[in-house]
Amino acid sequence: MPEEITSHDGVDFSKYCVLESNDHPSIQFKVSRESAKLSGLLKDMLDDQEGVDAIIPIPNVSGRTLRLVLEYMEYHTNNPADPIDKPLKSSIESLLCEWDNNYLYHKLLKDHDETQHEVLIDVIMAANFLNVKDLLDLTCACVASMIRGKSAEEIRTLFNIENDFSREEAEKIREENRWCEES
Amino acid sequence: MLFYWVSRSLSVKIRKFEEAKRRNAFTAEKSLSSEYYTSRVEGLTKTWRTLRHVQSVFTSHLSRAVLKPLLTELLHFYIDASVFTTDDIQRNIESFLSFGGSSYCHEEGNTGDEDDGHVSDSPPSSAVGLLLLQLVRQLLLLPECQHLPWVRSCDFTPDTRSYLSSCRSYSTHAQLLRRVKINRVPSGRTTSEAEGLVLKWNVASHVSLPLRQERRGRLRDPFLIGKAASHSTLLKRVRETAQTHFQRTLAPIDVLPSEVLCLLLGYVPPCQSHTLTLVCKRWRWLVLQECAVLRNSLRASSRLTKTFIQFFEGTWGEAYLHLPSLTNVHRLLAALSPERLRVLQDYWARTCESAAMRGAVSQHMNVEELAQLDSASLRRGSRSPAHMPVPPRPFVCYVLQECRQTQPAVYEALCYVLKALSVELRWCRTLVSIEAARGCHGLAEEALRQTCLLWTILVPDQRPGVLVALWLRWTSIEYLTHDL
Repeated sequence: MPEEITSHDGVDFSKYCVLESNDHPSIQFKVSRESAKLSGLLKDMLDDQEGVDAIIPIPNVSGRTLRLVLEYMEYHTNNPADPIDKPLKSSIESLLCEWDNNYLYHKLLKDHDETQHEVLIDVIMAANFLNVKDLLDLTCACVASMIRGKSAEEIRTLFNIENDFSREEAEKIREENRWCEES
Repeated sequence: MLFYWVSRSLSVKIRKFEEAKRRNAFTAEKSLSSEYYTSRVEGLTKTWRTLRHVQSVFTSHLSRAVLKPLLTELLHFYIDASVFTTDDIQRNIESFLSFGGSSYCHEEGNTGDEDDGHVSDSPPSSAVGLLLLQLVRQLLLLPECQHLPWVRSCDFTPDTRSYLSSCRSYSTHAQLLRRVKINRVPSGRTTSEAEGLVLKWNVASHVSLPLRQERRGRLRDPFLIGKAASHSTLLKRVRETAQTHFQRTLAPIDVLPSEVLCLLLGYVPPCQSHTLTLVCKRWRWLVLQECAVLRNSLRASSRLTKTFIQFFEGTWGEAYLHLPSLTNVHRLLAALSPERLRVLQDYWARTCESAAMRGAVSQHMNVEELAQLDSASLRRGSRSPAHMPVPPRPFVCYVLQECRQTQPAVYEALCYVLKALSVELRWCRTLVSIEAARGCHGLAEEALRQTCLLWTILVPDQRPGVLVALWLRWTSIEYLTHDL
């Protein structure tokens, strides 16, 4: 678990860095440099700030989301993630290790409930901002797995997406691929 | 492979013609004239040359190593891949590709003719095989096809499975044919005329497709390609609408930037690309413009759609119908395990052993061919009654009538036949609800009518044991009968 701190005193900045969330007041996390460098963004910044006390504000990410991202980074520092093949050939659960499954379906999707995906989307946004490629792949694949096998209407309902097609437009699109319509 | 088999079959036919001609030289007055033979040989030779030409065209564009993964991916568009392993699909591709040249298809309904010196002048026959070939050819016309990953894969391992063994994979067969829409009512015919044809086709046993190589112009997807001007206008409009939509909508997933959404959509199976375009304008724009794999898949899918439509609404679909493959008992039997199949076949064979029984069954089922079966051919196995193209409804009714004398194992096997029939009809019913499935409309109606008749016969039977067993065990039948 990422360590939340209230003071920089005692932080060995040769081994650690401090990340600040965008909350008010901000939440600070002590993270090993090795773990932080799983993020492309942080890696560049830490490389630029070699030998300097690295206290890095993360302006786009809340404390709750940052904690989840850092948890992933800390675990996968010594446990490299397996790549996920595109496209998904089966449900993503069967492709992941136990830790990733638990992380996805208990922390990002609470109690495996696909409809409660706000945290998951937040983590995707954070992973994209911080450029944590493995986490971005994992979370995107998770959403794709939620989409897999669903009809357009089911997808809209799941993600609360507005259907902005007129009836005529929808009919026209269906006509283009009428034999390929998912059954 | 398809052409190889067809060509080989034709070569054999030509050779047999020559042999038959020599054999009959001494009885020329009784046999057909030499001019007839000459013209027949010339006709076959011409067809053979055509096939060779088509084969050369085919092979110049497509190697076997490419064909298999291509077809595999093709089927992924149309078959729920989760049902099958890739090996299953590939095995069935093998069987379907060899369908066109297999003796089963080519000689079906024509058995024994060659032994008498008569050679059918039916054109090279096939159904799904040629359709797949058409689809493949259309796919290859796509410029994007060259960039599709499966085209580059080359893992080809020959599979020597025969058609008959592979066709036992009922589910694959059914899944394929579910996509292969049947147009039973040629345009311009009335329903009553069509029903007349139905009677004929129930006895007929196969579809015969001429190997007509129509040089169609390259298909153009009107939505994706269209006219250049309208295309650019369309893209501009879609982009503007998408941006407006993006700003207006507050759904969590909509806050994701386009590049992340593209990454996300990249994990969605390509067979869902069409579904994705129906979600909203932004997603449609992303699929069409930003996600190369999905876009290519969608375009390939559109191409296949058009080919399907052309195949079944054009000359082939109207002229050559594959009714028995959907309706005969033989095909439904493919759903059975070998043990159950054997039980039913034994029962059926025993029933047809005596001429009196055959006559009774024939009268009941209105199957003329059955009455004409002689015991010698039955013993020889060349006209196995279990392989007769018998319409399912009278078959089922007949066996049910015999239920009191029927062994439990036979009854159980029959139950599975009924189940297969009900599943088939449920698909037909689904198709009926799709307005676009015009070609299948007649068939689905016919299938439902047959089911209705079946239950009309069964229900007055009022034997609770039979009906309760049927209703309890087959939810699919229950589903069907709700609306009957």
